[in-house]
Amino acid sequence: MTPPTAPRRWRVASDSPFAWAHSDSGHVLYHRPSGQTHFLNDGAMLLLSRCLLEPREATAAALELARLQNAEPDARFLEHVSGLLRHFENLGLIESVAA
Amino acid sequence: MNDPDQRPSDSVSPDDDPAHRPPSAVRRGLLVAMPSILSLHSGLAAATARSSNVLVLADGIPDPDENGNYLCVEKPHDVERFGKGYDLGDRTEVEVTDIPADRQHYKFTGVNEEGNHTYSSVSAKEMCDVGGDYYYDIGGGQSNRYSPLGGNRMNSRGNRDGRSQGRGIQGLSGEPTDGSKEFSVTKGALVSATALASFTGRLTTTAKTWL
Repeated sequence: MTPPTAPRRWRVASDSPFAWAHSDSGHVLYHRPSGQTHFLNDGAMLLLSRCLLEPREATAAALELARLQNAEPDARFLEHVSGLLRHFENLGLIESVAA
Repeated sequence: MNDPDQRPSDSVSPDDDPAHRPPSAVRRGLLVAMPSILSLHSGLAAATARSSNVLVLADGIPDPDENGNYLCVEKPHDVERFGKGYDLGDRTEVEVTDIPADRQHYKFTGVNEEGNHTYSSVSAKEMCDVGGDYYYDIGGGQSNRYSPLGGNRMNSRGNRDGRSQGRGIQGLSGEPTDGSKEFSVTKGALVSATALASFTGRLTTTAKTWL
């Protein structure tokens, strides 16, 4: 019998790869390792600056984000965050870590 | 979960009416906003940082240059289209085809029932956008075809020793007839002389000038 695969966890790299610029209309992130610039809303900013400082599974990260925003997530939100984390990983903003 | 179509007055009990709930409970009843990210494309970001290396393309047909030519800049295969311009990056040379502005040009459109080649007028912009072989009148009502380099050459009636009449353009080689020159346009985009001049000293233009 094949053992179940442990859920993936993600976190931001520990070497401070981000430079932020914040404004009322959004947040600008400069990713030093890639040299790319991104525009983020409050939720995405909180994911990278708060929720993923420690390794977290997608659901846990989504729930933490919802808690920080004092709101209740639904299934669609959880799915959205899960997809966003994979996108973050593709951009090199976060890394996958072993459980 | 909130129903966006439901009005507070629509069969809502006081306990469920948001207006009667404490603020913290109202907030927790709302759907959380989806986090989102918008990434600057690497080419866009890099080109923005090097905006001086973007050759702005003309919007429509620009004014001719001081020599009376429209300037058709070839789009190199390794150059990105950045907005309304070509991001030339570190490129130091581009090919420019001069298209005389005071000349009417034609494109080959087919062969009619009599076996004669037919043509229609074409603008400098289309010639540059599409590229290819084009024709112009050299006087006497007779047009001369300007074939691609090394390609076939014949007059507008498709007469080349009678071999090509009625059969369209053949891949024949040969020397141009008296008074005819080659004329082909490399696919690209029109630029103004001003836009090209902004690269003076940084960019070498390889001119294709057809007389």
